Amino acid sequence: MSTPGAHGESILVIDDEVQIRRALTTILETRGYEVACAESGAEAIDALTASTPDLIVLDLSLPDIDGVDLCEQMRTWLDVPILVLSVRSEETDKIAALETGADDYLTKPFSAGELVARVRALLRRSSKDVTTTPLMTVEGLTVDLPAHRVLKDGTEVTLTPIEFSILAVLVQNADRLVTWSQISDAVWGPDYLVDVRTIRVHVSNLRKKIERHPAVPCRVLTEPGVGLRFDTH
Amino acid sequence: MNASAAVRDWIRRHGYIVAAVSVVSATAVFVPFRDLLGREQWGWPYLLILGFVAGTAGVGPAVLSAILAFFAWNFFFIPPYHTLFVADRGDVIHLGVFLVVGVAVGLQTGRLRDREIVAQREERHAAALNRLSASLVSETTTEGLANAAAEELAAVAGAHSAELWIPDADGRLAPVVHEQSISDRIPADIAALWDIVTRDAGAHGDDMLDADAASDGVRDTAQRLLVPLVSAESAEGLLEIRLPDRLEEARRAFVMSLAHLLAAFLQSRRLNALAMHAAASREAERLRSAVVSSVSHELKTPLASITAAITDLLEPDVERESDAVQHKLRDVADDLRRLDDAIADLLDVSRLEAQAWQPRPIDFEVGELVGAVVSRMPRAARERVRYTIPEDLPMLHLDFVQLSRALHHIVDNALEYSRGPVTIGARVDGDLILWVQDSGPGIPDSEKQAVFDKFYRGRSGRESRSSTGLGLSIAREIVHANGGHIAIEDARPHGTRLLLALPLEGLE
Repeated sequence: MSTPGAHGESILVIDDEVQIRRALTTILETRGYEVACAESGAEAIDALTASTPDLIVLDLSLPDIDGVDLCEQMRTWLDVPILVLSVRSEETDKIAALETGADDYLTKPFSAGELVARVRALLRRSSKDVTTTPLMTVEGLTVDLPAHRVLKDGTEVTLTPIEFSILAVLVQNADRLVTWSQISDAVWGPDYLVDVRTIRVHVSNLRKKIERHPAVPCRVLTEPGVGLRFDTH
Repeated sequence: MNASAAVRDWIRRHGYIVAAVSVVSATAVFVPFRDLLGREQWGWPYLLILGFVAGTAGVGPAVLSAILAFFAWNFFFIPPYHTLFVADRGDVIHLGVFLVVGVAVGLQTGRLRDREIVAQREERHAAALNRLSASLVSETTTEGLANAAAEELAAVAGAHSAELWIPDADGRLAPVVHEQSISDRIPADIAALWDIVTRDAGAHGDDMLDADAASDGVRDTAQRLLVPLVSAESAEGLLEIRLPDRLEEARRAFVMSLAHLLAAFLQSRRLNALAMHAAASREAERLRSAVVSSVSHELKTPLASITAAITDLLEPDVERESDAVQHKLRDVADDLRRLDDAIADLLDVSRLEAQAWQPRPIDFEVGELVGAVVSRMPRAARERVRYTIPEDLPMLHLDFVQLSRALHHIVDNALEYSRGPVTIGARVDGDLILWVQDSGPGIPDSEKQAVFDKFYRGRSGRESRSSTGLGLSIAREIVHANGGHIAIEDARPHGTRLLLALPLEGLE
């Protein structure tokens, strides 16, 4: 099977459904993570004051507090990645949670594979020492980050520095949601607040250069209302 | 205009006074000039006065003025003066002829004038009824209609006010124009008349009860008139009119015609509502049974096979190859996906129907939408999709999430109903036209509209396809909610093309 979590990273699961908690615990523990559970917002706060986990899995519908509020509250003093679980009809809540600081989301029902992939990706991002795969190749597109080279079907593609920086942050976070503000921070630096429309113009140009069908992006996908996702599937 | 109408009205009502005053004042004017004309010639000026009275005040006053003039002429102008005695034989003839001619002229002119007045009144009544019929067609609310009727009644019949009482859903009589709270009592006479009218409707078609006679004598303010609005088979309501005085026959007939018109309108409106209600409940019934059969099939089939597979795996006494277990579990996962899709479809339908899924527009390019939808499909499906989407199409400002659900259903449908490639294209033609074309057998014209119906399944898909049959109906509802529309047409050389027209101006 795949490589286990191995580092013994700790994960706090906040969900009021016992079946979901049990399933998540089983899935994550068999992959080497330490799992703690909380049934409510109050319990979660207690657990978080006792010890800080490496990642939080948060269900948006909780009995005692609105998931979006809890997410916002935790963001004021916690820097760990938050993975939000939601059902399909909670799109607006999901977007609100992502805007207030959640890092990614999973729509229920999800497969164990999807969950583990998201968890790994988020933990990889938060552990600062690890640099991601410097070379990525997906269906004819090769991105060589250290060499600042991008090849499409073997031909070199010329990107502007901003386009390359955007692509870099997306590739480093492959298959993960990258919000507009994360892109802005990574490309323009945390001191500038760049308008989403400006980023979109650069993204649109980037897509024309690297996508197989320039008008139909299948690599750099739009996450409505929140950001982008570089899809490797 | 109004003042002259009022003068004419006053003259009409006080004709005899006008006749008397005219003759007396004319005589007062004539007497000083007695010697100007011969005594037998003074009949001519009096005829002039007679003509005036006949033309303005009608037959009766005209005859009165003829008689008064006869005496005045005799008294003041025929010697000996100031007596009714006539000295000259010839003057007797003059006077006699004057009386006959005067009465004849009065009768004739007065009758003409009366006829003209009747004609004018009838024209006014007809015009009022015409206007009301026109508002019956254009007015959608009962309130608007009641106001229109009240206006005509005020203008033509001189009513102070008019109120329409019609029964509400519970059969309780309520006024249309003036708000009435539940606690307000219906006036006793209205309730009593309504009781009579509803007990044997039809028998009281031409009945009018004077409120003064029916109630215990509230006669200090004004006359009140209650008219039942009765159509061929049922009582539709009551018309309550407040009048300055009792109605004469002509205006009463007008009120009756108006009442008939109102009754006919109220009846047709009631029958329409009944018919619409019946059609709606038939449609609801059809949908309910379709929901029940679809839900029981689409939810229970995967559930049954999952249950069978899992309980089988739980049987302790069977030895199993791990490959077989894997295979079974993969089937379970497929069934679960199918179950999730069915639940999602039903959820979308109920959210759309309850209007609990309002569009949240964002800026995006149509290609982003297509890419997001297609990249979420299985690889085998993705490889069958072709694109003819030009670059630099204008931005859309619509709900991305909703439209990706809609497009997902359409593309999924196209992939399912054909084996060959599916092409997604876009162009600008007023709106942004996004189209999805399959290379399947096509859809017969007779079924083209039905594909958007809930639970409809194409002929070729009926046996094989496992789906709720809700996809295209969801797609249509979503496109409508985003201000667009959806159409279906034959593709050349074969296949079907679904077109989404999405508004470039976007949503608020």
